[in-house]
Amino acid sequence: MHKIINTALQEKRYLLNEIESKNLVKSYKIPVVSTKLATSAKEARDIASKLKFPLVMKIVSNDISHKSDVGGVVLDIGNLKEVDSNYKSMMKAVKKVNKHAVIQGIAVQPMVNDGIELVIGVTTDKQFGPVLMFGLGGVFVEFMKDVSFKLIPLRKVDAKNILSEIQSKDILMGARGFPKIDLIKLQDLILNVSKFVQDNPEIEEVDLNPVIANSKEMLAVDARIVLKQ
Amino acid sequence: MKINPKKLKRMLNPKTVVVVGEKGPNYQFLSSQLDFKGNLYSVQIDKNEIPGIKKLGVKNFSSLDDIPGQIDLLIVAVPRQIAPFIAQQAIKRNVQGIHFFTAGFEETKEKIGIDLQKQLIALMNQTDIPVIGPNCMGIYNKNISLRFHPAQNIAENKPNVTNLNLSFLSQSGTHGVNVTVGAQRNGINVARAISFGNALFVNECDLLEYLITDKQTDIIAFYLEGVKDGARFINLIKKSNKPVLIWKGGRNNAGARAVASHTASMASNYVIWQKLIEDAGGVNVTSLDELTNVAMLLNYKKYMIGESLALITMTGGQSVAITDAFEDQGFVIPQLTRQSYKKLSDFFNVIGGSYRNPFDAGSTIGNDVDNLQKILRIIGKDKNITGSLVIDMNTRIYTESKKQYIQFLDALNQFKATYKMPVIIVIHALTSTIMMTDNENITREAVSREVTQLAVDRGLPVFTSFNAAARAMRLSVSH
Repeated sequence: MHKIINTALQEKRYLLNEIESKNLVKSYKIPVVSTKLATSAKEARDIASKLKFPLVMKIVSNDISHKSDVGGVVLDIGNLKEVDSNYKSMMKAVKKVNKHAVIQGIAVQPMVNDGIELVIGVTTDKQFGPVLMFGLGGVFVEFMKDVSFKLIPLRKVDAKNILSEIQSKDILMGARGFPKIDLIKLQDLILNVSKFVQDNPEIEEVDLNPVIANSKEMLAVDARIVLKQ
Repeated sequence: MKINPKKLKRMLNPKTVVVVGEKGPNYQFLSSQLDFKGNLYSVQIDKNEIPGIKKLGVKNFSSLDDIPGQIDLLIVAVPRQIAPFIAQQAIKRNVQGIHFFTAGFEETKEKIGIDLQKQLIALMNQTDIPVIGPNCMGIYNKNISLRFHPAQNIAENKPNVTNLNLSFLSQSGTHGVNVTVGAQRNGINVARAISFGNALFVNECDLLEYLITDKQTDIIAFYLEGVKDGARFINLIKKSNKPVLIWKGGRNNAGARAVASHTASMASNYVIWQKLIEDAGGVNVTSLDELTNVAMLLNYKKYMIGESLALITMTGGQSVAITDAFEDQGFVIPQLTRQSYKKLSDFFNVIGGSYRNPFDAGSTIGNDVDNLQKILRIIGKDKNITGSLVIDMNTRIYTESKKQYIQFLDALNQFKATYKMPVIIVIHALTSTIMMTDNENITREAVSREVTQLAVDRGLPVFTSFNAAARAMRLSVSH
């Protein structure tokens, strides 16, 4: 059993935090935006000074599952001074909503925003077991429910087909000025997610949302993993 | 529990059937089996029931041990408390297979039911005897007249629109009866129906595995509310060379789950179900009608299966309606070639009609089977038509001249054979007697039934609406 999973299960935690989730998927060659945990405003500034602005800061707490709803996410941070002030105001905002929440700190990461937003996820169906979902992110997944599913483990041909089974596949293929993304790389990413879940049967759900893809790279900006109870 | 495939085969094709604990006044299992081509015996010790059983002409015994020879299928209809005892007797007697009609186990959520189920499982798990049920209607096998409902012989011997035999596996007994009767009425031969209920032992995968290699079965159909082993089920569908149609019940009640992530919220059970079945090569249907409608068309698989159709109706309004129905399902209604149009212009009455495809052909075909044949020849040779011919066979033609209607059907049948082009007939139930005034209600039903039978007798599939036909065609070609 993977160490991160083992630790969480021993603590009877079934929702891994963002840092744990990212470290876990990273070990399966799933590219993620590097994210560091700051436990003080000074630490946040130190981390930020080594990164390329603009940055994103996100609260890390096992007690809070929808970060942005409680003021726990700030985007587009332009300088060190803003890093400092945001650290303090975010801590305050979250405490105000849930004063008992245990906060591990604040995650600091570069902001990635040019590219197509994708969603890659896994859910465990009662009858079929783990199933992988793929779709475009943002409004496509939210309102148009434009996603496709495959049974895990996926074969190479499944990873290829799942891309062309969504309605908005033309966007993926670089239509109308959308960036041309490396579809082979995307298939490999999907296969790695499948392998990751196949190897770790403790996993109930995975959500890589969004994965931002452009002509140069493909990165999971956020990751959350739920373990089986 | 390991199912013994030899015993399962024996059980599904029994030579000796014994019913234990049959009760009046209906004696459902015994009275369904009166035509059974094999040995039928009863075991009943209740003095009140024995005379009724004897009256049916069935030999009754007081114990399983007294029955001569091998028992291939034991149908158990005793009260639940006695079920484990009967199971013990059956194991001792080395019966080949057991069907528990007996209900009242875990599904009741009562402690006694749960305990009895545990006893039954513990007993049967020591053996390799296949057990169907509990809480189900069991096995129908047409060839040997093994039935679980007396009505299953209805329409059993009618001519068929398809030479493919359907076998139906059902979690519901009612649907088991309905599909047997309904499909046969529609001209589909039902070889087997198995209602398997709680599936504590033999489950949908075991039965599917059997049907995949069963010589009597060409089309496999299911009514399911869920599966026990989803991954095995999907792999079996992938393995099957026979079409597998799946009618899933309870499609919309699974929506609300505690949602921890986006992926889970997107993935309603039925969306996943549909996608995985489709990926494996199965066909998702949503009702009894859709199931039988698709089954009617699977025979056409060896014919032309292109997407470009020819549509014929008798009036302008219907020609628009039929086109909408088929275009909505993604079919193409193409223009014909120039040569075809030239030939059509020689005889087609364009006053109040049109031959552009769709055909508004009432005024040309009207009373003239020769003109229908001319049109059919042109369609058959036209390279732009790669799929089926769909024709609206209004019953008005029939009420005007029965003889001529039959000539039309024969011409269509001939056309089907000559050009290997599927012919699909629509006899719209609601519009079937327009222009008829007297005794409207009786006439409509009777006329519809009569003309449908005339078409089915000739092996032509009949649909009751354009939309139903279009939907079934879409599903059947997607296989």
